Amino acid sequence: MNVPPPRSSGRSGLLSIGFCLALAFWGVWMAVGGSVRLWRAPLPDDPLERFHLLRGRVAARVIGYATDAAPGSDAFAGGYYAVRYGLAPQIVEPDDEHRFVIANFASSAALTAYARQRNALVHARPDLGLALIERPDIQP
Amino acid sequence: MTALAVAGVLAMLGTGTVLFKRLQPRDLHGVPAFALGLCVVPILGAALHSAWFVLWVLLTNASQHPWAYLAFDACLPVIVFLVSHLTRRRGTVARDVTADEPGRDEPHERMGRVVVAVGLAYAVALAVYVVVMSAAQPHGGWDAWAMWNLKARWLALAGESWRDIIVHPSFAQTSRDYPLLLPSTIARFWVLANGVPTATPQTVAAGSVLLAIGLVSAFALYLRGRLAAVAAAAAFVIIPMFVQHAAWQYADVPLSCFYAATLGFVACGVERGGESRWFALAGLTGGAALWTKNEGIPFAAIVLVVIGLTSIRRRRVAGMRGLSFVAGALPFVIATATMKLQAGAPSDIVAHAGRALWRPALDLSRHVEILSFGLNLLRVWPEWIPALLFAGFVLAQGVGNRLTAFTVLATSLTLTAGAYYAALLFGAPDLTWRLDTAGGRLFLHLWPSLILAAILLGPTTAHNTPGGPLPASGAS
Repeated sequence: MNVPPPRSSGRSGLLSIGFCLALAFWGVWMAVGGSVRLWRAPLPDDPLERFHLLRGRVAARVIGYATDAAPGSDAFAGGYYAVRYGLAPQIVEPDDEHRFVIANFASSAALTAYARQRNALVHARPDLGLALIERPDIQP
Repeated sequence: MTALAVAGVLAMLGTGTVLFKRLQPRDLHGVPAFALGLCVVPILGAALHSAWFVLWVLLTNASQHPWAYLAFDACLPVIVFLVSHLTRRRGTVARDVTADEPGRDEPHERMGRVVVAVGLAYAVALAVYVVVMSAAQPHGGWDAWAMWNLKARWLALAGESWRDIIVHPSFAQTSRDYPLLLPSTIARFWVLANGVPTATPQTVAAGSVLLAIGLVSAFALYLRGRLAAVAAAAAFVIIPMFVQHAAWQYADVPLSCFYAATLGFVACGVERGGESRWFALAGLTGGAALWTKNEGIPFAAIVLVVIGLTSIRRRRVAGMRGLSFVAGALPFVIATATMKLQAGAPSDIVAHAGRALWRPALDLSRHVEILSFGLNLLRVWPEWIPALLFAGFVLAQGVGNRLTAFTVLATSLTLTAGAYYAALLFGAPDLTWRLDTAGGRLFLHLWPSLILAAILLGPTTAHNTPGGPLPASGAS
């Protein structure tokens, strides 16, 4: 199977090299530029970290979730999924009909009002809008 | 516990090395063999150990004892070694070690070396970029923490209740029936590390991007020479979104890596005389693709059909190639089937497929929406200057006289794109949302393979012509 391979002519060979070099230089430029930009940019706060603080606080297998974000909105889904990730492996359901509930509110006042309305006990409050609450009126 | 995680890496590399050495085709040696091995060994090892980890989860109900798991993990390279030793054929053909320098006969030798030097500088700069980028988002993008890493946490931490993540109704939105290559790869290291350090998914994501680029470059080196290898690697800057996925930790990049590996091995097989080892390697990576995401299932089936078509007039050859592919894919088919049987309801796109097929097919607006999304993607995503430079390179190379490999890739990619189109058409009731959230990523699955296909259009150089280098009089 010794088929003579096609040989590129001198001009097309040089053209190939030229295009290849230019492309590789572009790659170096993009990678170096991107690294420098990222290096200089301040790291954003990680919104997921706050939920980790509640990890391992509840013995119940299934807990609930309460928020003031509108159901079906991105804010609701984002908060709910973040709680579920932060507390894994813990089943968190997207309603508050549970003995233990993660309350994730936009402000401290909203959370306090919610807890008062539900006659709930606040067990842990890693930041002003986030708390683990217990609803004694619901049997585990 | 870092020592145990390092031991886990060594076990993974050991399995990959033994398997790759056992299946390494006879005419693959020298620098191309080293380059290909460097990329293939980790992905083979990671894929097999992820399936092995799921066996551990099933056998022990996800025991979290790191030392016990390490002992179990270390059995896999030993088993692979024993199987490969027992199935080895005696009297293999001696390798031709005189024909192992890629690009030796390429024109413009000195300039070629400059290109390689710039290519290496690019590789280093890219590696730094990918690492810096993945460090910026410790938990990855939305899908990473809401689905892939969430599943990994359950597999690593939940113990006996691990099944909840694939059966409990509250996880209905996390694609419970998705295969588990990525979560189990991450969970495996988390069990060994006895914790859930974010460095693990970050390393897996960054490694996937670099291995995908390295693989395409290594196949280009083997099949078309070193100039093509540098151009193939640099072509990834045309769509920066691909490289940026290193920060997001999605399963789409590992999937694209397995696609490119599968098609690359098949291309080698059809261009280099069709040794069945190429097809066994393709089966392993094709199987790993279907063990990564549901999209890998039609892909693996399509590649199997295309392999059959490549030797349609030689039934025995087709049979051997097909059998080798299926044998390679088998461990992952078993793993995927096992998990799917355990999982709850199928994900929405699978559940909706097959309902009233004719209705969406006749809905012209759905066709228009998919096609206009694709066209818009092609307008917005590519960086046009590197795209033109790469097009210039491909044109300057010209069309070679060996187009079988290109045809195989083009056919497989076209059919896979067709399968994606059909899945969107029939299986996505919420088409606009589906396109917005996942449409672009479907294209990224094919992107490394598309680069490889473009490279395979070009001519072979003297060193990689079957039969070894030409005599001095044959080179111009």
